[in-house]
Amino acid sequence: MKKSLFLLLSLAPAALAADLTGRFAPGTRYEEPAAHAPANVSRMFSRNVPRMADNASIDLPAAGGSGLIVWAIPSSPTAAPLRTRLGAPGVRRFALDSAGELGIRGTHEVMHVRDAAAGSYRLDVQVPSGVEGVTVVVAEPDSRVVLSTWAAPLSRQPGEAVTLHAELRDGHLPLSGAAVTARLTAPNGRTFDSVGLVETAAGVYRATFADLPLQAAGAWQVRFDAEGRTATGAPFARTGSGELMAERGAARLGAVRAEVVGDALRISAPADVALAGAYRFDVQVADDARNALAWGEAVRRLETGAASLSIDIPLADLAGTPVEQLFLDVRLLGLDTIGVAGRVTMNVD
Amino acid sequence: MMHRVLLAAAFAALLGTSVEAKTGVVFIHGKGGANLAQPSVARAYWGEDMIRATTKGFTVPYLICSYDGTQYMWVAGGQVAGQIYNWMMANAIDDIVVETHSFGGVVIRWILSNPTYDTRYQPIINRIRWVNSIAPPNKGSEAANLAGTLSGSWLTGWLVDLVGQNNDSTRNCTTSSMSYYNQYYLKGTAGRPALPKTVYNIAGTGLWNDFIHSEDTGLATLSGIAGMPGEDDGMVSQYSAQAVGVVWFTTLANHHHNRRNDYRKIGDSLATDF
Repeated sequence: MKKSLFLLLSLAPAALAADLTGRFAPGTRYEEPAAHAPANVSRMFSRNVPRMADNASIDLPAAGGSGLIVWAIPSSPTAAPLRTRLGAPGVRRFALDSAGELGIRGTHEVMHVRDAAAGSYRLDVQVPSGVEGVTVVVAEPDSRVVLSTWAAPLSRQPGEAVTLHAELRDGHLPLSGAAVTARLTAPNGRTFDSVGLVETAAGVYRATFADLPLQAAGAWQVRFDAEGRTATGAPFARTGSGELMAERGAARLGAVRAEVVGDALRISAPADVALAGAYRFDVQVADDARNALAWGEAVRRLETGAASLSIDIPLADLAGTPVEQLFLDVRLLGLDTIGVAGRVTMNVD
Repeated sequence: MMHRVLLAAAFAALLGTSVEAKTGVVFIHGKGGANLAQPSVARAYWGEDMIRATTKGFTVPYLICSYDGTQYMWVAGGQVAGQIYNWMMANAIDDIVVETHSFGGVVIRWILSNPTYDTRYQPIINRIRWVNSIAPPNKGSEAANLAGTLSGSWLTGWLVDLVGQNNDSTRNCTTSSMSYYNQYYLKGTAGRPALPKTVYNIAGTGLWNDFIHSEDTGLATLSGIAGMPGEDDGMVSQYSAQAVGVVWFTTLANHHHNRRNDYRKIGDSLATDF
């Protein structure tokens, strides 16, 4: 019993740990959490070739002005080599045979065309017996035709609208008139029907939803597919990705309060806790010019219902900045289940 | 880097004056299969020559951490912390140099960033001299994004082996996920609190190291398909590896070779700490 209790205490999130505070390195600028992750920039697309017969053909659009990489991947490991034929001059072939370190099992085939002209290339695939199909991934690594995609908000609280964003450009020129779709995959792997994005400005395509199609917390992945033609008529296709974190709504932070108590700045906030567990009360302090000054973190075990949170930041860590010129970024982070429960910012008056 | 050499010499001199001081080295591998929880598989991940070179012919006490390579950083961190804690206590190690490869660099950042998450973390942090992080996806990996992109196809599930399964460790390493974790849970990137110990990063910038290996062909292909900006080692871009800590050096060894002491003698460089 004594040993079990010791192990329990030593392995659990350190709910009884002392609060931590510290100073930012001089010159550090406060950075607000980004609304969305950096855009995924794609010069590739993928196609599935289902096994309808022993042989299948697929047209691969290429915008040109780049090399062309074609990667043929059987749906399941097969000892039989893939047999493919790409209708392009100067094709170099590489077999990718069981590179287990990369998660590759069985035999894949990679084809490389050094300088691909704009146009459509026919790929013939002999699908090995016992294989459901072949996925073909095509990239034009040096192409000027780029699809940039993201999903927002990156940290999405229940009830917040979701935006899927795609941008198509040919160098500096926006690409209008493309067909752009997106498909959401829930954290549990369930994939939903694709939806069309609407061009809201030249080359900018968007879809906004009031809610996610499923109440599931965790990382939602988005696959974007775009097809169209450049201003010179060259066909192109691109596949991109995005991701957002659907938060659980585990707790809600109330209005933050700051006051000087002795030689510390005491920052406190009420919380309405929906899911009991270990949380961390995080505070970042900056001056009114957004120079980051100090930080603090306090682990607390919270029960459901109303809770009161506070942490003391030593005044000595605030570089002599008057309290009324301070800016606070206060967060409540889940520790039992990783995720942002709440975030509030305020200027101290 | 003269500053680093001087620091290592200072550590050696300092430790030499203490009867109790004992230095050790810890290896933390990257993501992969669940079988990386087996010590023999984790050892093979690095290769015998990397371990020999780094430990100066096995004369420096060492620990090869072995954790399930499919899990999130906080799960891996718990497994790694348990092994380090037991090893350092059993062997009275009080000066630890940590060598990480790939996702291992994110796992040690989790531990360094969240000292109150687990009561074993702080004693470990106290004993760490510094971390040498080889090809860490500090801002994520565009190659990891591919797993999510492609798993959204209508034939969901049969392509996800491409860059490692679309499992928790791969999800942890997407550029979006790392953007999220860097903003809320991990320290050391711009605008975030500093890590409590220095991380020296080693970014890979080469692809075609060895034409006879499928891994090299695969990494070069991944680099082209995933659209990694700037230089990369086939799995992790230089900008991402260098987003945290101090640049120690870059290597032409690709992601397959930069955890080994073969194409470039990286283990020999790591050994200069001792």
